Amino acid sequence: MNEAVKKFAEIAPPFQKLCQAIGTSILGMLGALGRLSFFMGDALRHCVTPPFFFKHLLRQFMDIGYYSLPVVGMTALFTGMVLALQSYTGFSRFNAESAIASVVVLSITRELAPVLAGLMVAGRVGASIAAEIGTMRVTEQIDALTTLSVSPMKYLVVPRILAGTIMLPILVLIGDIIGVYGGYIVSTHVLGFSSGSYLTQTWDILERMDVISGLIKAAAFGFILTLMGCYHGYHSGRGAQGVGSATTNAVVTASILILVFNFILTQVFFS
Amino acid sequence: MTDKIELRNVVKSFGTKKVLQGVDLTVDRGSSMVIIGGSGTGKSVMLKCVLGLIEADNGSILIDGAETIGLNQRRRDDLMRKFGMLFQGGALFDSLPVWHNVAFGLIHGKNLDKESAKKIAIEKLDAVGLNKAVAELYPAELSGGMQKRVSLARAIATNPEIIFFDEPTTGLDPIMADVINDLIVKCVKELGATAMTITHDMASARKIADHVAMIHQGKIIWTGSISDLDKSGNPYVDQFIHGRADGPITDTIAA
Repeated sequence: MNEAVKKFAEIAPPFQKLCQAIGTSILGMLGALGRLSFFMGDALRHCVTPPFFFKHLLRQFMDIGYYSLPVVGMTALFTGMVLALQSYTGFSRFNAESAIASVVVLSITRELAPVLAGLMVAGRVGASIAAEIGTMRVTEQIDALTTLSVSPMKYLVVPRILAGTIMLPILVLIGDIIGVYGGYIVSTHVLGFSSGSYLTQTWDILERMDVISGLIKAAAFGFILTLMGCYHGYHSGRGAQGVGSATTNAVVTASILILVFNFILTQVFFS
Repeated sequence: MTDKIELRNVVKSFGTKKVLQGVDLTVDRGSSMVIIGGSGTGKSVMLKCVLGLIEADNGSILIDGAETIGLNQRRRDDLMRKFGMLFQGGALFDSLPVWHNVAFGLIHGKNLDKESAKKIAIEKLDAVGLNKAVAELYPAELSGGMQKRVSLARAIATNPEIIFFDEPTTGLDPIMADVINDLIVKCVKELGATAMTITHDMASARKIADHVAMIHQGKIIWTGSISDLDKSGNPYVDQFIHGRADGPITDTIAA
């Protein structure tokens, strides 16, 4: 008996430390989740209550939407091209080259355009949102907004989240077209397909739901990446280091959440 | 006459760190209160509690006799219209030109149209000694002293009843600091506003203050009029105003 007690006393302190560490990290995670939920609820409430800053919304449309076009366009173009090349090397082994058109259009519209656009824009826009709002937090500009009777949520957060949620589907729609065109270029100019049959195959296989599901995903990703940018910027720590880690966290969490929600939404749409 | 600002037993902790440990303070209408105290004694936190930027854990903060802790957002926004605030770092919006910074509260808080707001902004800039050409510049193009002036112009633009100054002279050369002090005194007098300033610059405090309060370890340990400051008989106050390294205040170095 005494032996057992002794042994227990020996292993108890490190075991307790381990439990403490696990507990602290779980509590920290739940706390962060709670703060994020409150932040999201707050942001959504401010989306539907006046006053609205329309001019800011327009500027965010430009910043988040228009200026992301080159990035999204290039990503979609080269992804479509690579997709055609790769599926040709695979499919030509068992004479299924005719499936290339359908592989390209379905992968682009359902998965690749929304996910890659989401990730690219998360890097471009999510980071800049977090850095901008984080710097405003650190230099007390957010406090200054409050003392000037302007809600920082309405002035900074709402325009960005709305712009992200609205512009991402538009970007992805354009990305869909460019991506399919990329596949078309490679198939007709490099792989020697006839342009007529490639386009017919593309058109025949494509269903409305393929595009719509991609656009809904895009809206969700736009919401996620702007929300993450705003949330991490808004709760940025002090100094340059605080803003730096806010930016990193914004991009990392947005990217991971985009991939997670991509799975969840795919499950919802196609099962 | 009711007190303009009254703090009763205000308590605020961050985690296990007790920053404010029961602050009691009253500021008379139209008077200028200067809060002195070392770094990390809770001066800024107290100011931010009054502004509602930080929520106090306990106690009560009365503005014009009305409780302000736990106000909802809309009420808080309305209350904010009474306030002007000069932030330590200026906190100017760097994406907006100088005139828009000054006019911000007029345009968004008081719903003035841009033209008339800009006119008032230029008048206010003139009042702090900045000419029209500055109005079109961006904050990043200004020197530190000029940024402070713009920030002051923004704080007084809406003719607030209460103005807070957070270390208005920190980071300025002595001459510019005195210029800012003069401007503060002039602006507060002209508006008839109630002012609350936190500073550890004693020259500034002597110039601005009607009354002085000293905060130490999250509590107000002495208040009195500026003329009594030198004969307070309080060892903490004496040590602070003379800037001595040795005396009862020692923990600030450890903290």
